[in-house]
Amino acid sequence: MEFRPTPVNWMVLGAMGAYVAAALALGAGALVGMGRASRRRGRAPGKAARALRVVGWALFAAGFAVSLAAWLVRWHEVQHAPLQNLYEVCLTMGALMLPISLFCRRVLRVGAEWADAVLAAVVLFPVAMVFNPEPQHLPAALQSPLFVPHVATYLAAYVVLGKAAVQAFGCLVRRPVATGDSTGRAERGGELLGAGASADLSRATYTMVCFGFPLLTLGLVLGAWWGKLAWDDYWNWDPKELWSFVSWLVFLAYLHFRAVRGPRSPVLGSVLVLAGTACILITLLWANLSRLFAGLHSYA
Amino acid sequence: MRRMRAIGLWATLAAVGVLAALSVVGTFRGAVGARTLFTSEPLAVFWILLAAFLVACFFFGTGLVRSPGLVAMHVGSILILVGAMWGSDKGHSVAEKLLGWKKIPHGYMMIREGAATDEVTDDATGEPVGRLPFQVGLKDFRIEYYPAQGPWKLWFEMLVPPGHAPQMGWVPIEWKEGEEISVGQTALRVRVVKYLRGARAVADATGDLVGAEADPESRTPAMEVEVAIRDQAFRGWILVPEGEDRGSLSLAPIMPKDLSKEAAPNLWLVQPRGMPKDYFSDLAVRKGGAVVAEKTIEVNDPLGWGGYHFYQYDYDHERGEYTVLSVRSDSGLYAVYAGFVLLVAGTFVRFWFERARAGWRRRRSDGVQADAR
Repeated sequence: MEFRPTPVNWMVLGAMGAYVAAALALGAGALVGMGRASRRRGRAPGKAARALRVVGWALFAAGFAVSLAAWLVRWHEVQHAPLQNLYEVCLTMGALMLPISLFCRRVLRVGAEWADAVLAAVVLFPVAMVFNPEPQHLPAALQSPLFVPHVATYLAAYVVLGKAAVQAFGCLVRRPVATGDSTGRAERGGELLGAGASADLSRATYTMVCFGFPLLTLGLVLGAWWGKLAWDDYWNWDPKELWSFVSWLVFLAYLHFRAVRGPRSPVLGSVLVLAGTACILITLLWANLSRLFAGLHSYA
Repeated sequence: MRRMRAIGLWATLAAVGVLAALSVVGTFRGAVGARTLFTSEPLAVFWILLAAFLVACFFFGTGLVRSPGLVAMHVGSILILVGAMWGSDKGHSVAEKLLGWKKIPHGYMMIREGAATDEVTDDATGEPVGRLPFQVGLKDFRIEYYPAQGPWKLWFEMLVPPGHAPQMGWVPIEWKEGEEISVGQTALRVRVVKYLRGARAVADATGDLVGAEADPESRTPAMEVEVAIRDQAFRGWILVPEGEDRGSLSLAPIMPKDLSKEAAPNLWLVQPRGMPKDYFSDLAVRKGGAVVAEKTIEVNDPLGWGGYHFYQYDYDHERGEYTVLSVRSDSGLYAVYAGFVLLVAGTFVRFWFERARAGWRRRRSDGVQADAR
């Protein structure tokens, strides 16, 4: 592990710093707001919480601007959309986080932006410190109109389902605390993730999976279609293909489970979502980096 | 009804669990092992049961038919399974036995430039597996390379008559200006006296090219070499004609006469190439002596004709004189494609649009109730 001082890596380092600072500010804002809300239920967050959130969002936006600039510089360097290898894939995910976070907040009403900023910093870390930044030519098989839609759709799905995993994790680790409200109890952890009780976290998890699953399906099908055009078969039983299929199956199992049980078993549902996210990590990292899984995707 | 629905959904979870577990096992067996596992007879039974189970979901009160998205997802999954089974090796043999449809499921064709063939060989054994009802001809094969940087490469070439050992064709020479290098297993030694990145040829009074001089405006290099074999030595220039990617110097003056005649030894200065960017095969399909289809295929752009697809698979890496095509029967392919479209459309309809519509209706009904209060 070493820092390779390329212009893109310097920008990535800057973006990581902004994301970490954004996570701290947004997290502190959520904690301050949560404390105030616990003391006086129903009151709007105070000035300090609001100021921390504004600073947090500004830092988040700054991190996004720098990582987007790094992504564009990389595109110029390699002369193709930077989605070829893990270096470029993680760089892209670092730039995707803010737009997806904003969409989830505004449209889906799912918060936890501080966790999104942490995720953005985490995915950018190996870009600066681990992966080889040497530009590579695109092999013939990757020169396809399906290259960008297939990879970009998968990355968007991974980011969304990563957010689902954060909500699922919150659902698992929530714990009751005494409050001054009429019920006398609330659950700590929910507010920090932008939701109230475990039912809200479970609903937020389900909302995120419902948003991410069609993207995951589209990525899988675009890959199969591309495989048919490039390698003569839509399914080659390659380890990365199989791991991506396993990820899809686990989220499919979650959706069926949710259809049977509804919101009644949030813990088991959350475990399934976390298992699906673990499979995504294996698909994205282990299947590419481990020599156990040599296959058609080893170029990445 | 609710009980049936619950049983059906738990059975689905079990099937998904089995498929996920088998897929994890498959990842550790590699692509070939996984293909063997998933196309084995017990798994063929599993696929058929899975397809039947998906069909049964429509009839046992699962509430599936109330959601267009769920219908599309399940019909799509059935089409993918049926299409994939129909297009498999076993699907082809069943179709031949039951319906008399004889088709080669898959194989390879190796075609030389200017030749045509209808013979398909087996992927694994290389043995012929059958003939197509038409011929596929290769008019031309080309490779496009990425540009490469750095000095040009030096090669030794000798045509070795059959029976001579060691067999030798092209031998790369890792040269450095001023250093003497032995060429492969031979007694030949080469020293690069001078390398000019940009050069122009110099002619003597009679017009013969005798050397080169530096020319900053030229992109064509030239190399002066000293070649020695046993007690014979020889010095000369390798000149590259303008616009060409290689130039040569005959070593006949210092070779034994019989060998120089038969082996035509040369030193070549060759422009370095980057990795291949793409490969192109100009194909022509012939039936009854007439050309019925033509297409230049490349990776990601196959030719489809007569119930088969022809994919750019491999090529002659030494001289680029032949192409290797992968041949695939298209049985079941369009069912799979239709399944893909329905599956994707179904997931978006179910999880994006139906949910958004339900949310909008809920908000509207909440608004109506609030107004009523």
